Amino acid sequence: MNDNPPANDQATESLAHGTPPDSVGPELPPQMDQECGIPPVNEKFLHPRLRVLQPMANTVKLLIQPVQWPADGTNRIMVSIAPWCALTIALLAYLIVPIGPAFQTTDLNVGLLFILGISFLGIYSVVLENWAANQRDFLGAALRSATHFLSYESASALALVSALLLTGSLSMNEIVQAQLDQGQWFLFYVPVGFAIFFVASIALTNRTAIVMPGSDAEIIDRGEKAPLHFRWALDSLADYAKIFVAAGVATTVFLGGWLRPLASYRDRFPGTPVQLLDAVPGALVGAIAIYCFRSAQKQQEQSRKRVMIWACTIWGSVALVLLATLFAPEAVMSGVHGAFWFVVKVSAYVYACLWVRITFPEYRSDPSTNLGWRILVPMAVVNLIATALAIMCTQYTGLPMRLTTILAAVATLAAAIWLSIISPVEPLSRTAGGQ
Amino acid sequence: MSVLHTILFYFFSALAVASALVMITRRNVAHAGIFLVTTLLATGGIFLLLQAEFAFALQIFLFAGGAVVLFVLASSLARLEVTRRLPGSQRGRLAAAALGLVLAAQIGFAIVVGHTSLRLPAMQSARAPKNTEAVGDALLRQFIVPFEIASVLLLVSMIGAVVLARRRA
Repeated sequence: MNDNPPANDQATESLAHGTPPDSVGPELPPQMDQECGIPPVNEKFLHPRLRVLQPMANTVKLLIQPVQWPADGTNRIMVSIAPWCALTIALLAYLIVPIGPAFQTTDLNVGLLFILGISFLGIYSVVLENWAANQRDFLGAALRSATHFLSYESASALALVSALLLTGSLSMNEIVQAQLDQGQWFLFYVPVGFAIFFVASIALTNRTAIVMPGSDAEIIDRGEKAPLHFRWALDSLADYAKIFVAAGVATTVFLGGWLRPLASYRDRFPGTPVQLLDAVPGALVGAIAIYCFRSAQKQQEQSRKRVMIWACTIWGSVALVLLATLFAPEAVMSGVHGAFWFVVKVSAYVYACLWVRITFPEYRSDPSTNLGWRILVPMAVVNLIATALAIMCTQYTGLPMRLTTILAAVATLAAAIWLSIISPVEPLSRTAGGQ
Repeated sequence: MSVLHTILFYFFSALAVASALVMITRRNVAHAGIFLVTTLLATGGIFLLLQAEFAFALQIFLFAGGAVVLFVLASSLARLEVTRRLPGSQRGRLAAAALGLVLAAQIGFAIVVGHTSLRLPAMQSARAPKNTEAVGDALLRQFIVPFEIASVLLLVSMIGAVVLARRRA
């Protein structure tokens, strides 16, 4: 993505002047904010004390900017609606992801199927948007992103099924409960499944590493597409929302949802040092608050100092709440701490996704489709069969589950290596030219 | 049945019928595709009202999800200018009308007969039973033979597609 020419002159200018990265973190490159070619609000527009509000000002600028339509024959209604579709669909999935034992909007008994179906609908926004723009390059992008989506959706669904075998339920709440009952996150039972889901979810959320569907149209037609700023912003927002949905699903299915580490031991051995883990959330957040306080004293600039003190206050009050719940009734404590652990796990997953995204280059669509169909899908199928065999083995022979699932994982990896030897993915040079 | 339930039912039904009507009257294949998806989603909403959550999930996953492939193929393969100018053939219309009449007669007959004889169970008001498991049970115990035959059919069509694609290439 870094090779692409900058979107327009204003963006080039702001890059040259080194605008501050205002969203995710200092390590992430400033291109992240610049990729849509959005010229940020002039820094002198805001009073120095309000400099913190710079990202918000940028957003408002996007909202009120006049839209320039790309070309004649554009279906304007569709082009305007499609990004909203993407965002709504992405957010709908959080209806049924349990954020804690107490925080779940509704618990459908087909929960996971619902999420898969809803995320399947997300492809419509990309397809409709590109179709409605009524240009051949965009239509090609739509086709490519649809095939890309289908190839990774199959792999991720198969990976999820391998974990579902262990629960026998599609309800998100019962999946978490099963991990509590079995005393193990499913990550440790189906590690290969988790790995497949991770790769597929990175591909599905477009933030990659693997490919950005439609980036060809973006390159060819950037000059025309860039003025539709707000649409771009919504699309990017929907992409981020999709990462959070994927992270929520992965957390619930593989990482134990809102369970804290060693959750099953807590109920089995009350009164032992395992109980001390309850204090960990409060202590962690408290440590962050202290760090903020100390770094506030080191800041030279007045506005930065104020920001750090604000952060310290916020983290400090969160820490106080977390510590106070230790003395609250059991239900309150498990609710608040469950939400804490869920947020921690989701953040870790999202951070890992972003990490991969800025570390690896972007691949073209054909090698990435190859990866989806030739490696991930066969691996997911083998993993599914191996996990099912492991469960049967445990049921009939009484061997411990940990042993049989480790054997299953080893068998899956061996099968994957064998597969890649007998049918190697074609080298890039052969697929590159096309027909 | 609560008032909200009734309102939602009529909303989804009206949406389904209206978008189905729009779908069959569009000349533009892509527009027809969009309204097909709307019809399917509205039907899914009715399934959800009936607490048939599994049917709802399948409706979204298989039909609405499958329709995206249809949409992409239709919008990329069908040349818009050509379809717009294409005159409808008289024979095709006659055949379609005849088929439609037969279908309407069947549905009407089913409604008339079913209205008096069929006794459907009342809708459960409390938490839904686990119909996902019931579906799995029915498919893999009671109707295992038809289920397996259907999967063989799918396999055959898949192999057929591969063979056709190979021959072209």
